[in-house]
Amino acid sequence: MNRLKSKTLMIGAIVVSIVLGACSSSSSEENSLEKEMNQVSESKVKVSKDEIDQLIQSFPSPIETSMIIQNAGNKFNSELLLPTKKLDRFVSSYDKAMAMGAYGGDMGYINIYEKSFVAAEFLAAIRLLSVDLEIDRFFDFEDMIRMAKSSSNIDSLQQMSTESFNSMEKYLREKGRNELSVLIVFGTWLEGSYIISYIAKGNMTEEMRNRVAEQKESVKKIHEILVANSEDAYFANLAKEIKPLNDLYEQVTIETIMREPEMKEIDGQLVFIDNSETKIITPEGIVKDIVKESISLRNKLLK
Amino acid sequence: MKIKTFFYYVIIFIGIGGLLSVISSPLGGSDCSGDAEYASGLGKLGAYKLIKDYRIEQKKGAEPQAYMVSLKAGLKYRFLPVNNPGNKSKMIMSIYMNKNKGMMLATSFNPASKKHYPSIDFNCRTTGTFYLFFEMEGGDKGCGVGMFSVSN
Repeated sequence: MNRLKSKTLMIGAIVVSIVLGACSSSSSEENSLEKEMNQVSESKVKVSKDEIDQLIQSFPSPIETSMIIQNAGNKFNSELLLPTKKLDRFVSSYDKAMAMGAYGGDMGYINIYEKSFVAAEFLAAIRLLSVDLEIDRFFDFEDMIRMAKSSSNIDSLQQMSTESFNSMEKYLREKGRNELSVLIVFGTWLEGSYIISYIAKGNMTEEMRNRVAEQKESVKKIHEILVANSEDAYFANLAKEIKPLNDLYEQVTIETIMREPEMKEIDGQLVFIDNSETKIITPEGIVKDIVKESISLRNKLLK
Repeated sequence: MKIKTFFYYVIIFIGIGGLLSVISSPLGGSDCSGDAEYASGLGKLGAYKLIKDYRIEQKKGAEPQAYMVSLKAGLKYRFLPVNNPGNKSKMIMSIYMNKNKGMMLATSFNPASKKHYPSIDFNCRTTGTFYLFFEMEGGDKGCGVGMFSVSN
């Protein structure tokens, strides 16, 4: 009899341990979120983990895109940013993911130029979209908006933006929402490409011409992923929309001459200087056509 | 008495669970989450802006972990390996032209002098996709965080 009681207690203990273990590994909030994520209607998009990993890793961050714009001597132009009014133009979760990526791209541009007073309305837009997509918990909007409004601690605002987008993207991939990750990356790239193109349109220097042309690989990769997932009507439409741009870029030739880098130790810091060289060959007028098409594509899909 | 026995069992099973998670960690007990290393790395970036961090957990003899990175001509990049205090061997960060380690562009370890550098700066002149490799010296086990940052 005592043995039986002891066994009962042991089974009870196992059950309690399992329950406690489950509670410690995920909060009830997370469970609820996961449940909601799983309830989202099943998508036809089957972007593999490898594809999305490659896509995300090989795309420049908005910080890099903004830095090259700044390095080329261009001044900040708030008119280039995606309007934050009438967010209801983004209807589906796919529209919202793309818009979120685009506003994230704008945040990179705003942060690099340290125009944090503009950032608050973009953070507000990202907040609304992320709530709809149920990924708002990765952003500390209160703190970020406060920092933006007071124009204080710009470095921290920039870092928080980067960390929030990185955490959100990691979460989406872990939860198998690769299609949203792809669209966020696409939105970010599209916005950056638009800003570069718009500046190049008004000031086609050698530097800006090359910056437009070097987008070739990004366009090719995103086009391939959209085509590969064309079973989904939304992705099929995006593939159709980006095709003319991809066709234009196919006429651009990029040749890289690789050379061993030079290594120097400066004040205990190891510095490698890249000695390679890139040659960009573009037929007459192609870059102008690309610029026109890039601006048109962004305005059609996002504005 | 019965309640006491019940709680003893609960504690034992929780203990077994904890032990299993420790065994599965590369450093068999040290915190491999990378949170402390990440915080330490942020303080060492200086004027560089963080793009991405990589949480690395290497088992003994495992293949190096490889990630693609997009680099832009005209920008300066800083790569910073931050070791877990429990590592017996230091983490090495290297950048290669391709996945097959075709041409090495930069590394945090000089095999000739056996010297590890706290970070590497790379002045990029070629826009493209490159490969970032993480491994422990001598193929040892260990964990840490790699920081990828940029400056203009």
